[in-house]
Order: sequence, then C-alpha cells, then structure tokens
Amino acid sequence: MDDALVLDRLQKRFAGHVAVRELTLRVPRGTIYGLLGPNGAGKSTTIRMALAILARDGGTVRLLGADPAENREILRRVGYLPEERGLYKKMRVLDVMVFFAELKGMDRRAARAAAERWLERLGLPEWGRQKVQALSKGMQQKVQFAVTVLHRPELVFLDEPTSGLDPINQELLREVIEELRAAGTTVVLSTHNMEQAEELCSHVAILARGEKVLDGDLAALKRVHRTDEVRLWLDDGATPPWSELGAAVRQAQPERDGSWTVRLAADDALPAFLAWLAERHLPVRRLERREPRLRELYVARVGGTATTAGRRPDEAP
Amino acid sequence: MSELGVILRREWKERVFSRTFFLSTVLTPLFFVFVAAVPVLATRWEGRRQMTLVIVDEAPPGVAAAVAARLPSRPPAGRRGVWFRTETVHRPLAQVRAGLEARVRRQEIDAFLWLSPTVVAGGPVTLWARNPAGEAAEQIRAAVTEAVQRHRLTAAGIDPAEVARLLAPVRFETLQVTRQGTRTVGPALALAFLLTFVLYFLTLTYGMQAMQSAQEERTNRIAEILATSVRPSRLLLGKVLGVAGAALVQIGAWLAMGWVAFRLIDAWRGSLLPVPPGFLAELRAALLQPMALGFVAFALVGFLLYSTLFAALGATTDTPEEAQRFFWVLFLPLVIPMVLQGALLQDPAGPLAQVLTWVPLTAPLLVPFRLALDAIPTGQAAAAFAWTALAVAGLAWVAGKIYRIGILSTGQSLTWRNLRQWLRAA
Repeated sequence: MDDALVLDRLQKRFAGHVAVRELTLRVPRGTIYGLLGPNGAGKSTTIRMALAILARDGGTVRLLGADPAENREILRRVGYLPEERGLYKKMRVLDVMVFFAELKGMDRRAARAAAERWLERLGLPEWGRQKVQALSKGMQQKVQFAVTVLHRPELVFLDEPTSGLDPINQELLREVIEELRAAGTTVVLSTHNMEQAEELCSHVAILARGEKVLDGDLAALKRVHRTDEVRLWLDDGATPPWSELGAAVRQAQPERDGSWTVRLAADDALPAFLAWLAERHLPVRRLERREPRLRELYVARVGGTATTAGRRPDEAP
Repeated sequence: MSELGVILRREWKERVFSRTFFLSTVLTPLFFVFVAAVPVLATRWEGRRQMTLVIVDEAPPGVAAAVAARLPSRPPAGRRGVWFRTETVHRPLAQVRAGLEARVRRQEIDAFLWLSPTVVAGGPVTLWARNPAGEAAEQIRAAVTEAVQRHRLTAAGIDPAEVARLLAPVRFETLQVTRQGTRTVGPALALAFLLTFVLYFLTLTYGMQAMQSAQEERTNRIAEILATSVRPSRLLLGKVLGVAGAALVQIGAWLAMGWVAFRLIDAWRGSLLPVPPGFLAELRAALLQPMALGFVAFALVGFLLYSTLFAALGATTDTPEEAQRFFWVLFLPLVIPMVLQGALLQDPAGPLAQVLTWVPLTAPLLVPFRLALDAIPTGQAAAAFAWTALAVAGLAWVAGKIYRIGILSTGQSLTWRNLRQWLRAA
C-alpha cells in the first residue's frame, strides 16, 4: 500500500540526550495511525521532524512522497495540531481560521466558507465574529482543530487532540476524526489515551525512550499477542462440568454477568475445547476469544522504560 | 495571495485596525504640540498686572528718579505685561530693610530696590521681591542699567542720545550656504530635530511591536503551526514589512494632520504662536529638498534593521521582563544620536559625527540629522547608505537565524550562551 509517511532511521540528539533513536515507521494512506508512548518518549519530536519544524540529525523523511525539508510545498497538504496550542488571541475567530487556511494556499473566499462550515460542525456557529480571547479553552481547542483540517489536508498530525475536552466534545472530535478517515485523510494521532487510540486507530507505534518498541496493524498485533483466555456465555446459566476437561483447562472463573472466563492450558487447545462444548450439547450463546487490550500491550512493552525525569527533550534547541 | 502577503496583511491589519493605533495617531501629535506650546502660551497668558515697587534711594541725586521714569507707569496696550507704581524712600537701607521685607511678606508691596551710594561707580544695586526671576525683575534691571549709564554719560559731558544712536545694535543675520542655495538656519534646524525625533519614536515604537508580536507567536506556540506553512525567514520578513506598513499609515496620517496644522498656523500666525514670517515657507522648501530622499532611504533601512532585531529579541524571549535584560543592547545605539544631538549640532561634520556615520546601528538616525543640516557631502551620504544597507542585510541575516531557532525553542530563555549555541546551530 502507498504510504503517507515513511520515516527511516530517524535520529535526533539534543545536548547529551538522544530524543529519537533510529526510528523507522510507515504510515499507510487512509489510516488512523496511533503514535503512543509515555512522556518524553519522543512522539512530539518525531512529529516535528516529520514536518521539518525541527532539523533531524540523521535518517530520512518521506511525507506524501517528498522530503519536507527540501520541498516545503508538500506541507500545504498537511495539517498539524500541536500539543501546546495557541491562536492569536485578539483576532476574530473567523479571521484567524481564514488566515491559517490562506497560508496553506486556500482561496480567501473558499477558506471563509469552509471556516463557517467547520464552526457549524463543531457547534460554534455563533462564535465566528468573536475574538479568540472571548472563547473558553475548550472552544479555542475546537477552533484550533478546525484550523488544522480546514484546508482539507491529505495527512493530519494530531498531538493529543482531545486532552482537556469534556466527554461530549471528546466524542464529537472522535466522530470528526472518523469522518476525516472515511473521506480518505490519513491521521497520525499522538495520544496517551489508550481507549481512544484503540477505538480509532487501525495502526499503532509505541515509542519509549526515543525508540520504537512495537508497531503495525493493531488487529494483527492483537492476534499475535493474543492470550489463551476465552469468554463463554451459556443460555441457561449452568455450570459446565469443567473437571471433565482435566488439564486442558487451567482455570474457569465465573463472571458477574453469568459468563465464564476460561483459561486454556495451551494456545492450540481451543479446537478441542470447542469440540467438547459441542459434544456436551451445552447451550452456548456466545464465545469470544479474548484479545489483549491496547493498554495491556502498551504496559507490557513500555513497562518500566517510561522516562519520568529531566527536561523535555523536544524543548531543547 | 502569497504566504508573505498573508503574513504582511495580518500584521498590518492587527496594528492599523486597533484602538491603540487610532489613539496614538491622534494623540501623539497633540501631545507634542501640547508640550511645545504650553510654556509659550503660559508666559503669554500671564496677563496684565501692576507691580508696586519701593526704591530705597541712597544713590546720587537724579538716579532714582531716572529709574522710576524708565519703568512703565501705565497698563501696556497688549494682552499681557507689567506696569509699576513706585514709591521712593530716602533713608539708609539698614533702617528700612526689615520693615520693607515685612511689607513684601504681607503682600502690601511686590518688591523693593536698593540703589547704593556708589551705584554710579559700580556699587551694588539689590532687588528684594517675592519673584525676583520674572519679567518684572528684568524690566527693573534694564531701567537701573540705563539710568546709571545715562548718569555717567551726562557727568562726563556726553549726550546720551548721541551715544545711543552711535551704539545702536547692528542687524546680524546668519544664513547657511548649501548645495541647493542659501537659507536661514532656523527651519533646517527645526526639521533636523523633528525628523530625527519622529524617526527615533517610530523605530522604537514599531520595533517594540515587532518584538511583542514575535513573543506572542513564540509563547503561544503559534510559531510551530506557522512553521508548517511558511519559512521563519519569510515570517520575519512579513512581520517587519507589515509593521512598516502600519508605520507608513501613521506617518501619512501625521503628514495630513501637519498639513492642516500648517494652514491653521498660517492663518493665525502672530496671534497664537510666535512664528517668524517666512519660517513656514522655508520649512516647506526644506521638506521638499533632495535631502528628503536621503532621509526616506535611511529611515527605511533603519526601520527594517531595528524591527528585525527587535523581532529577533521577541522570538528568543518569553516575557517582556526577559526581553528587558537584552533591550539595552538595541536601545543604546538607537538613543545615542538623540542624546548627542547637542554636541553634534556644534560640529555636525566633526569627528564624532564622522564616526557615528559609519556605525550601522547609529547611521540611520544620524545621517538624516546631518542631511537636514546639509552637513554631509552627497558622496559620503551615498557611501554611508551603501555601507549601512550592506551591514543591515548582514545583521538581518543573523537576526533571521536567531529568529528561526529562537521562535521554536520555547522553554529556553535567552542567554549569551544560548545565543552562541543558536548561531552555531543556524
């Protein structure tokens, strides 16, 4: 598949500190790609290098097929919502939106029309003529989101887009991000919110201490890292004769909703378990092989490597 | 529209369509007119008043009477002035002094004047008054001087009227011979001071605005979004040109206001402000001379230089307080030509002026001053301009580098060490 972003052995070093080490990533077009990792893992630095905001010390960047450090025109087709946000406080909301859209090469009139549409979509239609400073923090955040996507970019970098928003607005942005993806936009989503990433992302990369510890198609990753647990729902709420299975089942534990969590003795024991269920004519309503949650993958991979102390590496020169 | 145009327009609009801009455009000239006119008008509006003066006469006969005769005893014809009611006391000072001082304190009289016995031979004359420094004291001094001098002349057998005729002052006039012709110095001098001050004021005001704008983009992280759309060097250029555009609008507004003021002063000349005849015409002529071109050229270069440097300072600091620590580095060269105007006026082509002409940071304010005084050869002005423009381009390049690194390095405060690092990294 054609990739929207390819990073190859990307490297960034600040004084006495490696912020990003030999990072290689491929972000397929039309996907929502989660860039995950603890504070100081190098996510923001990676995004800034990908956008040529920061000069890289090594490696290559192909952004929509071009190196943005050499071909800045390519950045017109990209949107970027930084983690620390800011707008011109004394400008009117519509003016600030049109300003950023024009910088991306949009026609003034078209930009204005698009800005009005986005304000409508984000529930701020009556705020266009107000000054930015009159808006609440959450409203400003939504305006900034609109600024990021107003010019219909092919690739969008969203750094913690929902942090600080209430649940309703988080849900609104989640819907909008889904809509963007459905329209063919590639989204790189940097976040700490594992539930959100799991819900939205088709691909993820987990970074820790500037290095990639896991990446790929999320469904495939879950399959690869699946557990030996199944969840079983029976119609009559009966207790199956687990003892018949002997050593094939390590543990069978009832859940509050009447279902059972069954831990099989081995990963390949599932066919035998299914055959046993059929043989006993147990009234199976639903059976689910439990895949690991993204949070579990994250914790298992990042574990104790999370950086907690010291200067934010991406703030150094 | 190009990205440079978009940046320029935003910077320009943000300034020009603000209440602060409107107020500063209207109020700044009014403030300067107020500061300049109030002292003049205040002395004019002192009004008419009578002063009671006691003369303690120990002088040879006739002197005290001559003094009294030379002081006006009737109200003057104009709207202001002093006239005197005099009393003469023929007793020694020691006997009357305490009593007269008490009368002054009680405001029964305004002053008393002692003419000593040796006044004609150069002995003392003393005035006691509540306000011994005013116009009235000056009139009394002139009257005593004239009375004593006439007394001496008469005693020597010389006709005072003849002496006055012979010693009448000459009409001394100073004219400056310039490349364009001959002119009086007043309007050129006024123009030199005015233009230099306006240039200083605009450069500082708009330089500060460029600094604040860059600071806002740095601290609000707007710069990071902008960096994905426009090169920092273009952002800096757009900012500086936008600020310059706002300054041009303000200058235009001030020129229009100045034109109206000219017409008003012309109409009211003599009755409101003491404008000598021909002054306005010569001022107009001075404004239209070729030196205006030089002034505009240096003004432009100076403006670009300082706006760029101030923007670079803003891009490397988070707060006005932080910027303040480095502010003097830019403020000092800007203010030097202003502070040294007095010394430069004494010899506008002297060594000090020569040195400052070749310093790129002081030339933009100094050379227009020298041009207004016609104290710099055209060739030297052109060479100084070329050198300054070259140096400005170099400095702007360095400032652009600092700006590019600084604006994205939030959390890093400006220190000499960081500055060196950023320059190396640029």
